[in-house]
Amino acid sequence: MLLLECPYCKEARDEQEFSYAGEALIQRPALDCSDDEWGVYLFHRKNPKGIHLEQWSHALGCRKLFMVERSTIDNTIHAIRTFESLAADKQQAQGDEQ
Amino acid sequence: MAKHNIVYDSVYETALEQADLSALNSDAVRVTEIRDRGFVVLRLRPATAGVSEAMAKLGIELPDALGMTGSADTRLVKWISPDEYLVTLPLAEKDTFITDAKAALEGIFSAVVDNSGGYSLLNIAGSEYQELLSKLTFYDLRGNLPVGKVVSTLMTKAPVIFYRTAEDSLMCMVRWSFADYAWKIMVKAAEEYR
Amino acid sequence: MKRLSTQPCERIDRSAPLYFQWQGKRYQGYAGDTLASAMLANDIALVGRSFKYGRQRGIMAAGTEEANALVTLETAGYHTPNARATETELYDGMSAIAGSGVPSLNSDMRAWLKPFHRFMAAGFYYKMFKWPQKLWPVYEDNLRKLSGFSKAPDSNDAEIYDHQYHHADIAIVGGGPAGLAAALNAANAGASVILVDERHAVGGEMISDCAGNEAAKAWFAETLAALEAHDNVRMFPRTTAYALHDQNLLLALERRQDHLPLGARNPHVSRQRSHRIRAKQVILATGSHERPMMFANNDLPGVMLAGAMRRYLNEYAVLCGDNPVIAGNNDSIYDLAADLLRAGIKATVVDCRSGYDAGALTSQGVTVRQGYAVVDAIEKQGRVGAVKIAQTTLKGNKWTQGSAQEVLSCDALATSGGFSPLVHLDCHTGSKPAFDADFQAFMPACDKPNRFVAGSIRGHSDWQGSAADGAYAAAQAVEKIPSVSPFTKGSTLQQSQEVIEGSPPLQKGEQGGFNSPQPKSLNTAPFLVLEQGRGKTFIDMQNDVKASDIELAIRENYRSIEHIKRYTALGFGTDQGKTGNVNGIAIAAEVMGRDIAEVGTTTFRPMYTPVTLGALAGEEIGLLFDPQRFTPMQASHIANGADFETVGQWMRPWYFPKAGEDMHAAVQRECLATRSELGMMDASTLGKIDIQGPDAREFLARVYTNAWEKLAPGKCRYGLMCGEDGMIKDDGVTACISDTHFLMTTTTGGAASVFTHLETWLQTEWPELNVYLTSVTDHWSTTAVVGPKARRVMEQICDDIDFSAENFPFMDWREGTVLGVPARVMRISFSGELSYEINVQANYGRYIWDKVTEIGRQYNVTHYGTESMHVLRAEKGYIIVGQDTDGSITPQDANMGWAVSTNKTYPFLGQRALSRSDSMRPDRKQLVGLYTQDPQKVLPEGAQLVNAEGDNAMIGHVTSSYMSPILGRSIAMAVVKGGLSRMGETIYAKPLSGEVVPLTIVDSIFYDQAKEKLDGEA
Repeated sequence: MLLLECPYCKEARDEQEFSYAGEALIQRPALDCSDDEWGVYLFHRKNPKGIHLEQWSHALGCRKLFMVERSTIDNTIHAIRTFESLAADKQQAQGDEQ
Repeated sequence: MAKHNIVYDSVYETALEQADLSALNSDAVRVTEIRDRGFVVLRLRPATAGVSEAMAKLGIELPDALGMTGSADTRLVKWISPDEYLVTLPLAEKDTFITDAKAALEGIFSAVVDNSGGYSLLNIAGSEYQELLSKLTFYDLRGNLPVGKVVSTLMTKAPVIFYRTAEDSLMCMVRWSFADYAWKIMVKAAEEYR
Repeated sequence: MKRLSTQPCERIDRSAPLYFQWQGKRYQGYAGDTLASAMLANDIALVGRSFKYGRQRGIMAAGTEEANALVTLETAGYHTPNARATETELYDGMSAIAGSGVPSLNSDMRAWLKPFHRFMAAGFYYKMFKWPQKLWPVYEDNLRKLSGFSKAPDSNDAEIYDHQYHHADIAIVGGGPAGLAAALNAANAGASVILVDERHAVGGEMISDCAGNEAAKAWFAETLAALEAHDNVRMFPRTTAYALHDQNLLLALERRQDHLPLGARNPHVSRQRSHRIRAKQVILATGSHERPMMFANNDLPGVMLAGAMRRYLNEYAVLCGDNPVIAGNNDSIYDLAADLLRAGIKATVVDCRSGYDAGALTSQGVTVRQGYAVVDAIEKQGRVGAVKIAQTTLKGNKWTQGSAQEVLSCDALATSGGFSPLVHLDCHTGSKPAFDADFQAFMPACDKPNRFVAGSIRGHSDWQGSAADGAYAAAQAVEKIPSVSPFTKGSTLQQSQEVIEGSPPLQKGEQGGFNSPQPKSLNTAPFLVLEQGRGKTFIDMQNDVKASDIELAIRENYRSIEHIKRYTALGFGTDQGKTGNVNGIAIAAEVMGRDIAEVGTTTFRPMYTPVTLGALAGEEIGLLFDPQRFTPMQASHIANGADFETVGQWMRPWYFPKAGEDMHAAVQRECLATRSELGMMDASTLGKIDIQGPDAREFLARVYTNAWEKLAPGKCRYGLMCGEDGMIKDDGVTACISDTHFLMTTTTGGAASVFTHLETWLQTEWPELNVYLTSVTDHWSTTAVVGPKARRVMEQICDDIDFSAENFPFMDWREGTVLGVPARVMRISFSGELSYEINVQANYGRYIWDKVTEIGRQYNVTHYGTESMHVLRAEKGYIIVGQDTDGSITPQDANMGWAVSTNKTYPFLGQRALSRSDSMRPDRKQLVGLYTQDPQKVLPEGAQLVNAEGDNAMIGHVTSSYMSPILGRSIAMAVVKGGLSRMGETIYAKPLSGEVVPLTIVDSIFYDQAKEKLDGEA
């Protein structure tokens, strides 16, 4: 049973309060993409042995979703990020490039 | 459309209206249902322009994460989520508060939602109440829920909100439809403290 | 065997004699005894029969590692199968029988087969019972009778169970010297501590140390007193830690009432409690299990572990033999010899090593044979009567055995083949133990964060070393807890060093800190695996695995220890190879000519010891197994005689039978009454989501397949929701409250998942949308007033809404006051009849329901439940998501293309998937209506459909099927390949009954296709 630190409640909570919400950072392709591309988006998942980027929802707490970097080997939580902070990082990176 | 006052012999009931409340009424564990509270959900982002003025107008203050402001006797504002607050207030003041809140937040991205029928509000006290709740919830209520703190979590399989307004008891909000289950499992778990 | 006079540290209460039954005969023990110690005191040698060969077995251990003494306690509601006698605390009136022995303990069928035992090696079942295949049921039936131990209980458990959650800075497993020292030092530093110990009182193996050692006795007493004085220490005796999960979630089973006579047990207190402990740091001071020596007939009654014999002597004052032989490969055997000598018994010590200075013992008459090992045990009257010994020499890691053998007579044999640290809990989260040649044992890796090991699990062999190690672990652990002050942290270790007299001094480490105390070696010799008698050398007592079975497995080319385990059953069952596994690994290594380290261990998984199902379930059984959710009208439904059905977690009225009615009759009546006059139903369980914000309308357009831009305030619309895969996910009616405010309803069962689905899209893909979702399912109660006369009732109970068909058309909603209560009234219909849904705050739900019932009486109002609701909607061809759809049905498949709008600015969820080639296939299963050609024949739901009578190729299945009261015939909905273009064709259903039922494909709207009834009576 994992203990996850909700980045909004700022407190570690028991896994029972959360629900797993799938792999994180899946890019939704443009709708004029090929059937194959759409199929990959719908059904293909990484399932890595090692670090997995995944979404969790604090379903029975604050109901916010966030991203967890978890090792599928030993369940070590390497990082927890909010989507806001990821978006801010992305913007920052784009700004740096320009 | 005309707004009528309640003039029929309308019967107001709470979620535990039918429960045998004497089953949890001893010095060891005493659970009482608070019947006269309304619950109003405020959805807004506290940093949005105009929100602090609106809150000042309403006479409430928005708490930080897992915090509460105000008073249990008047208006208690509980943090639920970064953009969600739950206001507990006397039932009779509910409709006015909703009207005032909507007016104060006019033009600001927000929602004011009446959820007064959504919960049963319980006060849980007695010499063994902490022991009892440690059988039913994994949250560390004893060590990590001081006066002024609120958490949303689970009581066995019922979603609940726990908060503390006094040292020697605990408040528990359980969704109406789960109230019977929560009550029964408390009765069962409290058997040994009879 | 006998009970001795008072021993220095015994833990029995001689003033409290207890009486118990074993195999129907009465015996006496004392309070503080285990069933095993009391049996030994009464000279009971035979306690069980072995799993496969029915061999006679006696008590071989004194704790959880007991593999033979599995007994059945009590009967009926208190029947406890496979209790270990060694862990069972004796109480007055206990009744125990052997868990094995067919037909009886004294005469076992499996033992009669002795001449055939040599054909019954590992894999025998797989090879023998394979042919002829059709006889397997016969084999299985008979094998089952022979296999296993205690019989399963045949009645419900009379006792209750519960759970408890705990939080602590430090959780410590094990109450021996290491655990106690760790607890005290952590508590002194200010940390909150939980200590669990499986025995009835803490002390562990230290009790035996106290027997001859005043310093040990004093330290134990002082430590215990100090711990009891601490209010930040919680100690749980009789509590076995059975699993250690991620991030230090420790699960432990407390036996709260098992030690009490049945009559003294409090029925309001749980028999056992499962504790779930979340700790910042965990210290495993679990100790080690002694391994038996390996030689022929090492399973005879009277052969036991040396440490067990020592515990029986010191804790229970039970002498296991007057003329015992002690055989072993390490220094610990001399401790037993010394304790026996103190009790006046001169044992014979057979030490396979040479060089231990046993002068203190030999000078007092103890015979010590060094360089000898037991090679065979000889039975005499059902127990060990003599041993054969032979000279042994060690070259490298290989033992050789002299040819000369000597026979020593004895009446008990204690053996010690070294110690295996209890690494189980450390391994539950994936760590692998590593073999250490110095200790001749697999040592814990302890490589997970916030975890420490201390005491004999780390190889310590004396109480001082263990205690010092525990104190050291506590100092390390408190260092990592921020809330403990640095001052107290620093002083802890220093103090502990001064207190534990004779403990090994700490050595300064290279980094400036201290290194942990170094264990005192027991000089354990490498595994002694002799050539002789491997066919009778038992490795796993519980599963009857012999040394020769492991050899056979390797001969048959099993190489991985995991495969060898599964082929031979080594380490199976309730014992999980506690004493036998490592010996088995040693044999496998020897036979394969590999290092033990290279062979490795099998995987240790939870549970460490068996946990009763009751304790796992706790209080969540029966009606509390899953929440039963009720609407505010529940009390009225009960008063009105409803039968209930579970929908999701909700309890919904299924039908309301009148006296003498079955469900069919009730549904017939309810449906006809609703269609002809007036029905009422409780629709409170539907999910309701309040949607607000400037982008609310856009949001709806994205999550529903149909159009939303034109829905005006005061209007409602049916919405169809798909997942990104284009399959129907949910449906329901949404009301427009204002341009920026909507109220969505979802299906009863889909409420939570739809809410999560919507939140997920808002938070991850569409953060730019300004929309707030709030669940108001519980806030609103909904009374549906349905039928041609519904308007008459509404006009009577509400005077501020105009209910005329012109001013309150179908799919509109109005705000008003119903019976004095503020209400939202929606004119929507799931039956095709005129229908109003009155939504009020839950607190008034039952009042409204009862009042409407009362007023409706003049129109013969009839309550109806979910079954009639299903019939009424099926007559109209309305789908139920999850019944007529199953996650593989698109809107087009459901013949609901009318609800799909593909010209939105932002395409709806699922839109792209609908143009995938697979979604466009003409032969997809499509939802159609079916008429049975015999109108009275009602198909079972789920019946398979085929094209022709003789066909078995499935073309679809029946999703809904009812007898329609209004049509007087059977109707059904089904998914059929290409069904929408096959109207009027005949197909066949092949239900499980074996019948073949001819059917006609028809439109799925069976009743009132012209929608004439929607406005009610003219």
